[in-house]
Amino acid sequence: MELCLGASILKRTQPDPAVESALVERCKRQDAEAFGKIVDAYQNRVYGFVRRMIRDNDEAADITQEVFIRAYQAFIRFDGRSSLRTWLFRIAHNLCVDRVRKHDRMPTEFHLDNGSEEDGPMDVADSRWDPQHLVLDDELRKVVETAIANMSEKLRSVLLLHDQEDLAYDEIAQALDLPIGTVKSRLFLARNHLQTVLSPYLKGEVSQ
Amino acid sequence: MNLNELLQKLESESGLNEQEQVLLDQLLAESEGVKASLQHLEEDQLSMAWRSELSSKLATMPVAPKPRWLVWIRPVAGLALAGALATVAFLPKSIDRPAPVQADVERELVSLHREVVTNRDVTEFGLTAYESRETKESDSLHDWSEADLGIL
Repeated sequence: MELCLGASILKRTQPDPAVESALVERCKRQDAEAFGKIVDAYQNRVYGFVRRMIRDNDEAADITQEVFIRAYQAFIRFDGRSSLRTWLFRIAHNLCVDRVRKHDRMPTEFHLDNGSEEDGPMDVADSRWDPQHLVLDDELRKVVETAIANMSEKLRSVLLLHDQEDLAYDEIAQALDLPIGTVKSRLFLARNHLQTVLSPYLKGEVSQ
Repeated sequence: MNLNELLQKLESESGLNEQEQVLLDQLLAESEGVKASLQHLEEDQLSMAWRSELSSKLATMPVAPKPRWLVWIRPVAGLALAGALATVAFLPKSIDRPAPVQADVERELVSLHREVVTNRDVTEFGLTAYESRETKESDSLHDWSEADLGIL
């Protein structure tokens, strides 16, 4: 069953690699104009990630500024072993973790709910998850946001970087300093959690 | 394989065997549809005021100093270059080494000499160079004059 018509899938714009590479070289020479272009390209994406990691809009805006300030100051040490976006998300993730530790507001660890016997433990290949059929209205978006917010920081960071920011497994492994196997495990657990939360809506058990 | 067992392993982040890894990859491929729910989320927008604030902060921000090796690399490289040039300029004068060309000439002379000796050995009626030379010398001792020939 289709819930309702919603917005089309948002495509995260990715700067042209050649242009980005030239900008990076200029930034290494402390070119403020080039850095401004990098900020323009990534500010909303970094902010989206940080906001969902710490769940406080104002503080997320401040942390996003801190991400770019640190990047600007440390650009001379950016060696290009990882991509620019991986590096930026790594800085963002580290700042989020620091902030959570400092404020001692670690989110409750998510314990996997295996679902009812009727559903079976995993039905993520269910055709209802076909992007063609999955369209979200505002209410459902809130449910998704809440489901993401209720995950542990470990699952949330991997889910956002892979499924929202389109980072590859190895890029996430670099950004979060994790083995690729752990990245895959966490991604699957996060998706399973999201599916468990959204299943009642897809079945029409929850009234819209 | 029991999927609940796999889930428990994933939760505890314990290592997976090859078969479990294959299964996990398969499950991840099948769950790609879940990704769409995140792709539907609206992209956050930061305000122009936020951007202006960041720009003003960046304008007053001191840039991190270069790494130490970058600070020292230029003087060290300069000294190394000067040292190399000095070595190239002064070393040939201070050390008296035999020129490699001379060695080549010596080798060539010895080789030529041996060739000549060998040729003589072959061409001069089976005599060695020494015997050949001796024969010539003995011939010169009996260098008879016209008068002597006349007597004969």
